Amino acid sequence: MSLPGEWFRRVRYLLNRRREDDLLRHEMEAHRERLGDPRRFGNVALLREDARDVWGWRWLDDFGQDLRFAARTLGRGQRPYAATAILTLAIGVGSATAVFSVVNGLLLRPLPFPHPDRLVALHGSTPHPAEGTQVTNLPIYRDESQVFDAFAAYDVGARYISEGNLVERVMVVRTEPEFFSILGVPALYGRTYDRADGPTAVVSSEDFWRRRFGSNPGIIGQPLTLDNHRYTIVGIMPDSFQFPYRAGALLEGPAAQQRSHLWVPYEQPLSPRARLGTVIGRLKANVTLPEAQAELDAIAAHVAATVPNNNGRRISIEPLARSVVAPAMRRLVLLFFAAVVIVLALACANIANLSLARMMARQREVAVRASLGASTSRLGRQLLTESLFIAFAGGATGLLLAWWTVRRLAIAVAAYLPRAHEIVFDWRVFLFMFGVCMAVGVTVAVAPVLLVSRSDPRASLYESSAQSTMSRRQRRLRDALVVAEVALAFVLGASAAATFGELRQLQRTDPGIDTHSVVTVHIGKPRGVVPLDSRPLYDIVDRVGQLPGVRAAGFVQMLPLQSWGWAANAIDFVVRGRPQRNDEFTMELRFVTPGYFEAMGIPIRRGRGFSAVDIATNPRVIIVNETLARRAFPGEDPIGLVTTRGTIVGTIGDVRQAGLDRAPLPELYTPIAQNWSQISDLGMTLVVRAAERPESMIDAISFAIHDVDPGEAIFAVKTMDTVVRDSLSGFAIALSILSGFAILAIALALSGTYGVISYIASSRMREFAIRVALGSGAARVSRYVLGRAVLLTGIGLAAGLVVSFAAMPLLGAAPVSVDAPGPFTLLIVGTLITFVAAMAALVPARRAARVDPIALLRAD
Amino acid sequence: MPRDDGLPPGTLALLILRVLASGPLHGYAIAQRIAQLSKDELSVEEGSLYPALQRLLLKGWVKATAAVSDTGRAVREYRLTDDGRKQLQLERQRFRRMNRAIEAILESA
Repeated sequence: MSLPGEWFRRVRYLLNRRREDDLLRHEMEAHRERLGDPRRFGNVALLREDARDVWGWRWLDDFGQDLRFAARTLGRGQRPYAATAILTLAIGVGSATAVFSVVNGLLLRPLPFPHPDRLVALHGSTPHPAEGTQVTNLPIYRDESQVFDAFAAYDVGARYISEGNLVERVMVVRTEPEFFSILGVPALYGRTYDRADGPTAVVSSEDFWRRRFGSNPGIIGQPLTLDNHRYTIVGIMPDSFQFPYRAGALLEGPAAQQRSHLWVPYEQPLSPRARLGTVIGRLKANVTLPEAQAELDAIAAHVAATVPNNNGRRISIEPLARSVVAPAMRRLVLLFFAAVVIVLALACANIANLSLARMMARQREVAVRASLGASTSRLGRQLLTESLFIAFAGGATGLLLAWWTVRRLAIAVAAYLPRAHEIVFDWRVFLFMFGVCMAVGVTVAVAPVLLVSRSDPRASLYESSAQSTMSRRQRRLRDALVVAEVALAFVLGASAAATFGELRQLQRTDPGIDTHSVVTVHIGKPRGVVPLDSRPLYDIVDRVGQLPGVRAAGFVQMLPLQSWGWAANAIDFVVRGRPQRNDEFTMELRFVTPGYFEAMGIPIRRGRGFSAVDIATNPRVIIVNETLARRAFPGEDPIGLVTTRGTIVGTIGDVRQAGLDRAPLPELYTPIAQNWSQISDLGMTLVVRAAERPESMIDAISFAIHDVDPGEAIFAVKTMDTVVRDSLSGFAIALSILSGFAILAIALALSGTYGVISYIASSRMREFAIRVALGSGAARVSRYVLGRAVLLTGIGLAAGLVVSFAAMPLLGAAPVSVDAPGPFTLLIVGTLITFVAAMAALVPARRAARVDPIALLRAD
Repeated sequence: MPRDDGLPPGTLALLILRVLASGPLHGYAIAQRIAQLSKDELSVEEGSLYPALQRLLLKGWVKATAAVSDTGRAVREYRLTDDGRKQLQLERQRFRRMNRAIEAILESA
């Protein structure tokens, strides 16, 4: 009576089934032979089945049979149906899984640290929001808190490593000593630093260690020079440790790199007065967030009482996982997920429609099988197997689709999304996909099964080919589905087209510079090494200018379209002797060397550019752009005006420095030599115009730079074309996403139209047959079917148009501002969709037209 | 399942177990022995032995080994296992109890 024994024997039987079956057959034959009267033995086939059923694997056999049958029928006469259904599903499941994996990576997966639920981020808050959200008086909180294990503040900055001849710019995270023990990730090699280490310990990332030190473990204990301070390497962090995420994005500006390279402790303990922008903390075990917040509030009250000028500052905490993803990003990702779930729902509705249409055509077959003895549950099981077959085939295809998409998506958005490297296929994603496939399979099977169980097999055997059993309301619903899908396709298609148009227009906008054959090179030096004057920069310009193939070269502190925001109030920018302005506006300041305008291709409209004459000891000169000239000195000739900032010696053409989609800002240029004290510790960007292929000149340029000043680090070398293209990346991404959704919507509309039209066609097959028999041409029948398709599409397009107009105000609120699509665009999109729908309707239409009336009517 | 040979369900298994208690037999021999011992009173549909034997195999009350029949055909010989012997005892007791209960009702006025 042992149950495990029984199961063991069952499984053993399953594995040896064929042999057991043969043995039984031989036995029974032998027995039957020996009987005088074989009839006494009984029905061999039935007995063999009974004997097999004892072992309890019948359901497996049935399932296998169903599967084979499903594959056969789908492969033979149902190829358009199967292909459409599987493709539709693949799209739905694939896109839902892809977006879910993003949701999972960003929002669901716990942070990759031990006990991540105990990690929090601390923000300061004051009653006066303008004061900012920094944390102050952290040491007091540290002393007095009972519920926290530790706090650590950190910040990110660019530093320079100088080792031998190679000066490199790296992203360095400065942290308080408890930083690593809070996060709890052990070093890959060596160890992390803590309070016992002095301020000279440094920990490197694995990526940096690979690149710079050739993955040599012997680097532990070796020295490293950062900004002319000596450090000792104590450990290497694994690649999976990327905190703070998107370190480079915390620091705006040129060449913001995405990964932290090095971690170092602060040189000195932070004073209580320090205003800290980023602080993390670890709670003790079993402490809830409200408890911790209450304690912090109590300490804040104490601080307010004892520390002067506190301004009512307190600390608020949120889980670290939440703080890593900005609320706007979170909303956007969830919005995508909602959108893709709608796509999935529509895909399911489509397939349900499709299978209903099929069921109509197969009603006779089902009736025959029922009359041969198949029970309703057996038939239902068979249909369910078919649906599951399609669901899983679609799911497997969708999985491949999702895999391919997610990999590319993660790489493409790694620059914009934190935790992008955690967008992987883990168990949650697989579970989601499996669940979706099961749900879809069952949903899609329910409709036909209901139909089968309700219809009386005998009735459909006697009756002629399938009558429509749908009520009027059901038919309306079905038509409404197609209309909705067409409308959705139209709206998305129009938005994608509008964005595309906007992008093209921006690409054709004149930025005010000539980007052909221009390369840009950023240079920087460690802090604390400030040259006395700007001569090295000018020398570099001369040297590079003399290289063969170089037409012009010059420095600027900020490239157009890459960054802007070095501005001054123009209120006191007037001609000497005149009073202050009534209107104040901001003007951008740019510091350049001679040669910059030529290198950038900025036209000098009037007067002259800067030259070697404009040095520190000579009278101060400035150059203005046309917008500034118009704004500051309307109606006057600016050349020669002696202003509070210098004498205007020239005007240059406007440059769209803030973005191709924004108007040029007023801009004031001064020679670097005459303003050295203001900018001496900045990094500069060298702009070089080459006769051809500037990429080939980069080595020569680097050599020339290092020849003049070996202590300069060179980084972020890009052609100006790339800089311009990068500035449009927001639009490009929006376009990709919109286009992706638009294509999805069109595919859905296609399969939806196909399903509904084929249902209409097959449900009225008899009527068509009669019409054709009575003399109406076959072409008229197909035209009628096509006409229905076009009608539904037309209603859908009209609905889509209305929705587009209604949603127009939303476009303005979008992250990228796009003008409403013009009528021409709408016409193109509408025609495309109509064409697609017509294609989808063609197959059923032709099938209807080719119906042989005699065969159909005779078969009744 | 309803059988038209008049045997209450489960008794076939009991009979087979009892027959095998005296020694291993193959299918045809089991059928012969049953007919013989019941003095031809019980002649089951012979083929129905085999599903019953399969069930006994599943439950582990009976074990099968390859053998050759008298006519030289490849058959299987079935023998009782220890579990099978215990089951035989249980079944015999249950059958007797059932019988006595039915007898008691029939005998009562």
